[in-house]
Amino acid sequence: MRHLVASLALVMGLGCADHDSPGTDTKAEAPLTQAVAPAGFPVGPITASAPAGNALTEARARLGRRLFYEPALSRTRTISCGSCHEQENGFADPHPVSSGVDDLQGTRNAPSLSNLAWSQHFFWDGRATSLEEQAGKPIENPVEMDLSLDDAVARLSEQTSYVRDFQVAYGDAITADNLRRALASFVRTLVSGHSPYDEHLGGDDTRFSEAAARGEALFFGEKAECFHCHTEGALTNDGFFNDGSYLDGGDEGRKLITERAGDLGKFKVPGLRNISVTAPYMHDGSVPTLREVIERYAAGGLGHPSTDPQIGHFSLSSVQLEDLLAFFDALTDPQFLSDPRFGAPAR
Amino acid sequence: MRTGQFTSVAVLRLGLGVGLVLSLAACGNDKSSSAGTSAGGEATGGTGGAGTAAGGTSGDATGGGGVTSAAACPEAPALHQPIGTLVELGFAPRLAGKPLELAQPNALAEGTVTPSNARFYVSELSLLKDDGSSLPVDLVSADGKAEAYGIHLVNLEEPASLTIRTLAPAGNYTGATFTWGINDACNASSGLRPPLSFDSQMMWPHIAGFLFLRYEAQWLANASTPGALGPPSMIHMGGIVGSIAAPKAHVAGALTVPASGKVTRSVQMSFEPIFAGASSTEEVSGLPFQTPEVIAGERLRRGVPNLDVFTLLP
Repeated sequence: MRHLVASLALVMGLGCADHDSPGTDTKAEAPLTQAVAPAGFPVGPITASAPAGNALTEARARLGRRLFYEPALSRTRTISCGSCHEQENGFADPHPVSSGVDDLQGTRNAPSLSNLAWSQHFFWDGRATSLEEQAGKPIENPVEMDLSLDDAVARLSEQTSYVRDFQVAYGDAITADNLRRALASFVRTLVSGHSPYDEHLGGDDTRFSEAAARGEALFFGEKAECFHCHTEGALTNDGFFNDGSYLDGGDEGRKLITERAGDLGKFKVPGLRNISVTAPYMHDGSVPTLREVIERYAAGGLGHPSTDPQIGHFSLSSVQLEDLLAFFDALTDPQFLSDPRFGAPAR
Repeated sequence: MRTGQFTSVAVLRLGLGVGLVLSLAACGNDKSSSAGTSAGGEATGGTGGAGTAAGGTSGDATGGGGVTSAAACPEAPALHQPIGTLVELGFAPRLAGKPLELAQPNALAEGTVTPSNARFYVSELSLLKDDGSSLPVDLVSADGKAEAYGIHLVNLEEPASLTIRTLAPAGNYTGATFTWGINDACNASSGLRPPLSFDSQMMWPHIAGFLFLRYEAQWLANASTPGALGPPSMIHMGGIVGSIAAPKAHVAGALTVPASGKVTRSVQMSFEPIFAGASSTEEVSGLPFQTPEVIAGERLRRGVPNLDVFTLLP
């Protein structure tokens, strides 16, 4: 009970934080930082997930939200983070690979952004180990936003409202570090925990169909064995595995970072909330539908010897396949997909 | 399945929701709190959730199946030996007379083993005394603080994790024992922080619970010995709460602990006996799951008392 009281006090404090902040234009909206961890993640408020040096506050999250949708952070002033991470698609890109500045094409599918507050690895190959480290890389990537962080800081510094917002959020001028911290703060607030599956884990099966329940049993059972990577509740284990998508000459994934032979073709295990609306799938967006994803796994992947031994063959009846798809549908959190707090702020 | 496992999470969420309503009613125009949590708010980040995590897992309010109260698996367990000499024991995995390397080919006579995942829990460490009795000690961090839940996750992916530490009274010891896994109370918990969190890669839905050891690898036979069979490619030991208990592992070798300073020793971890145990022919048909990795893990678990896996090096 003492812990609960302490938690309530913490939430009360955060709720008060920025009511009179001069740097926000969204005072009337609900706080961004009030969420708690969905089932499967370490119990507690998202504020507890923030690292030392970047405590999660309303001012920082709201600044990060503004930056997330800021096209001036691309060389051509046409691409923002939100251009490729679309809320209605679970903050994923509906295209196999994203189009950056000058319509340059990337090589990987922009992943869904949700429940990353508790992750330790970012990007498909895990080349960043914090949201703060991750946040600056797409800005600088030549086929994405192609803008140096120094230039980004210079551009933002031309706007008095940004100078003010950074001062409120960090008590400091606009810097590359604070830019990355603010973006990380917003992404940290993207918590999806109101799907029928979440309610089911909380004991309410009102929206969790019988077909979804059968699909859940398959997913976490010894037939499909999806749980070896997609842990119950969190639906990811935040690790790297070769899921059978690698073929000779393809994207080497994690091996590009570690340079270890055994990491060939490994990619980060994504969380699966809202998976039904984040097509296309896999690291390269090469699989258009969830049905085809299941079929690929059932076939044991594409057959390369580097495939993880846990990717085995299995067979599903047509009813079982539909059940599994019903379970995936039950992972959709409509509230998350339309929550105005996560959308582009009024300009 | 294990719906009740997460019910306490929902209860906590409701509690926080109430807190938010209270906050909206109580805030007024307290500008000082705004300043304190924005520009200067670092103190609220980082480890602030520790107490909440422990409190949130209390299952008393829900009675959910398999939910264990935080008291049964406390994040900050009482220490057996709050003072003593720091003893560092570094696990040194070996195979075929060489260090076992993760994500690299390790040569055997008829092929190569490339482990992609190798991790296990250590808990309930004890030192063995000359008189045959055992002295429970604690797993601590480098600064002497108790490890969360009294549990250490050894993950070959993270070299720093291969070292366990404890505080021990001066004396001569003949060896050590530890629980190769976690106890039932912690095994039945959920929503906890590391090393019992989702990213431990040890959470398993086999009637709830965690694996005690997880090992996965690829085997490639030499061209000169095509078709040769290698060691098990997967060993998943544990993960069945209430059905099996974590085995007690023995560390052979003498250990002298002085009254001051620090002791650093290596513990050789031989994978040959692990593979042998996992490949035994012991009948395990009583398991609720009959997949190869679970069978291998259960065979290993049952064989641990007769396997010389851990040896304290001079």
